[in-house]
Amino acid sequence: MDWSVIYEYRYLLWNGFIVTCKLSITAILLGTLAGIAVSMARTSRIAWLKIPLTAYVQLFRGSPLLIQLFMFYFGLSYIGVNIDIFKATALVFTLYAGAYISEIIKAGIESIPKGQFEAAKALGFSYVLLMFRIVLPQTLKVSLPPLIGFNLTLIKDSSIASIVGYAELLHQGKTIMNMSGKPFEVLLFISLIYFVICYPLSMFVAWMERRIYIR
Amino acid sequence: MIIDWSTPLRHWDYFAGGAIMTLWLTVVIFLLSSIIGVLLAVLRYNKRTYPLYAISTVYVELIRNTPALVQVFLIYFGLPQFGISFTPLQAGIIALTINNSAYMSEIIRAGIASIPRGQWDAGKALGLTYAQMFRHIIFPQAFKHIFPVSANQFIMVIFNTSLLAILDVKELTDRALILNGQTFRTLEIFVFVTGLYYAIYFVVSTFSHWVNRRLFTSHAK
Amino acid sequence: MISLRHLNKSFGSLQILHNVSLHVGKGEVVVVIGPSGSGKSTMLRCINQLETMDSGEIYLDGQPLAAAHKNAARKIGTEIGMVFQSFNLFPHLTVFQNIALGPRHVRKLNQQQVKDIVETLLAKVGLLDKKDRYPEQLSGGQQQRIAIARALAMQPKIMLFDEPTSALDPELVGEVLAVMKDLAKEGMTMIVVTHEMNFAREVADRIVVMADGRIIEEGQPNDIFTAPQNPRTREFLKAVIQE
Repeated sequence: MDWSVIYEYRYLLWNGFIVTCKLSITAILLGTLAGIAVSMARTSRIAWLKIPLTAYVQLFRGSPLLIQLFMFYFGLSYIGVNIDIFKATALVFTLYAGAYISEIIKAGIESIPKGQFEAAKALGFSYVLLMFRIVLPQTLKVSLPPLIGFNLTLIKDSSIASIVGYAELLHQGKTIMNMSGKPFEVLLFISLIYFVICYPLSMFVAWMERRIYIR
Repeated sequence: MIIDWSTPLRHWDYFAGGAIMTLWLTVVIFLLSSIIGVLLAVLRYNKRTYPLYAISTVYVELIRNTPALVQVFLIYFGLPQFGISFTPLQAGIIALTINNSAYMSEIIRAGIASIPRGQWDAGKALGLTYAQMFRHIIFPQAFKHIFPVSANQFIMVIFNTSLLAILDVKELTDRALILNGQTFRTLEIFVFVTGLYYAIYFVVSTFSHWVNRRLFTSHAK
Repeated sequence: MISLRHLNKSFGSLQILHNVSLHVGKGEVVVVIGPSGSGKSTMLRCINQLETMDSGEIYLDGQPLAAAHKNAARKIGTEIGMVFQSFNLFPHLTVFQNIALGPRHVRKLNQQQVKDIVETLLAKVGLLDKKDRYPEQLSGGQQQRIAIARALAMQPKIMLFDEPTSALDPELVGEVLAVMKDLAKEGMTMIVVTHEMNFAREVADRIVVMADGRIIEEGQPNDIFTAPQNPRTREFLKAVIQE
């Protein structure tokens, strides 16, 4: 095995890594915001929002991420909308993340005993006050392990964007593989990078879950 | 630009073949990875058998913290470097089986670990062997937790098979790309295929909820 | 019938049992009392090998119980029955199946024999009409009586009770103690860890007081309750009898 190929192509790998980070962080941040908004809307009494939002969530949870990427990336340019690859990819990932995150948070909201909602109503709390001061703080505590778990999935899923040509880490890896003829070393190194990012986070989630369980 | 739905509809049987391939792949991968998963779960259950515990833990953690696509690449493109080469189909199945087995092992292990210790105590106090305890006491209860999470995992595997399109194994996504290359009716084709995936998802999801309700409801007063 | 000699048990750096020795004769009812953390449950669990002792010997009918043997707990399960504080009934099985499991799969009796045993025992604890119900449909007192029937189904030589009524609502305690009293009258050898002092006074042939992992006093119920020798015993009884 020849590891010098990693050193030789370190600039490409570093660029790929940065792009992966960019995509992951964007998806995590925007996806979480979208997820919170969608879950709040779906658990409110605003009926006319519920159906379209549920359809959105079902669609993005009921189809593979790769198909979603193809659909948007090729489909948009097909109907004449020109969009750069980063924005298109970031958009799809945000929608994808938003759907899953809204489900996680919705489950968290629904796990809060009904009595609290009743008490808030009896005290005259507005919907916004109820949500921000009472519901969300508690929900986030319960939902944090699955949320972080999903963020881990997002980071790993960013590799799928390589298939549509987005220049993240795996895509650079493919290029280097072909140029150097050393696919194994390159791919193993890329796995290592993902592992180093994901493993500590997954240990953190396990630690958190143990703490909540002991309580 | 004219939207023409006849293209995907005309080729419905081509896509149906893709859907069947997707499902066949999923079932094979899921079954194989479940068997390996049970084995791993047993090895990982007890720290007492240390070397086996360590190896299986390393395996599970490595697989769970790296992307499936990278694993597929490693098996298909990386291994030939050492003289081991597989057909695209073999490589895809092997990679996704290895991938899913790590997740299955955790699901099974967590299911068994969720059984309160008192159940083990009561079984031992009655003089049952480990095998008997597993069969009559532990496994039936663990399965109640394992089934719904496994159903979810099954859906994950369905979606993972779409990654095998890059290996041209003629599953659904692959066929969508091929037809797109021939007819360029991108939007119509992908909407149609998304619909097919969603239909599969919906059926599996509904079925598992139904099974869950029928078999596993509580007998509370 | 059963002898414990010089039992020592530690969990990590904490020593729970210090040189505990006890002898229980056939048909004797021994009630173990003492403050929480005195090692009473641990001693019981060492007897039926749910915990392995660090040193010491246990003899059942003159034969040593091989502690190091991996299948020890299981073999002993057939001779020694245990009733747990949290019942530990199998929630996915009916009452009948819970009791039948041992006789069917460990003693390998046939269906008719098993049916006879289960129904006799259910009648004995007064719950024959509940045989097809599930544990979660029953009250705590009923569940514990089922648990006693389940242990008795193995026809053990000795019955161990680990705080059998501590997890029950007060009004349900009586029905369980009644079953235990009948059992004692029929001559079953019993070791009972409990906080129910009235039961101890009425039913015990001998009281054993434990504190800090040691047996500090033993004797007849009347002696222990009216004139305890050990100051620690006096302290404990004073605190408990207050209720």
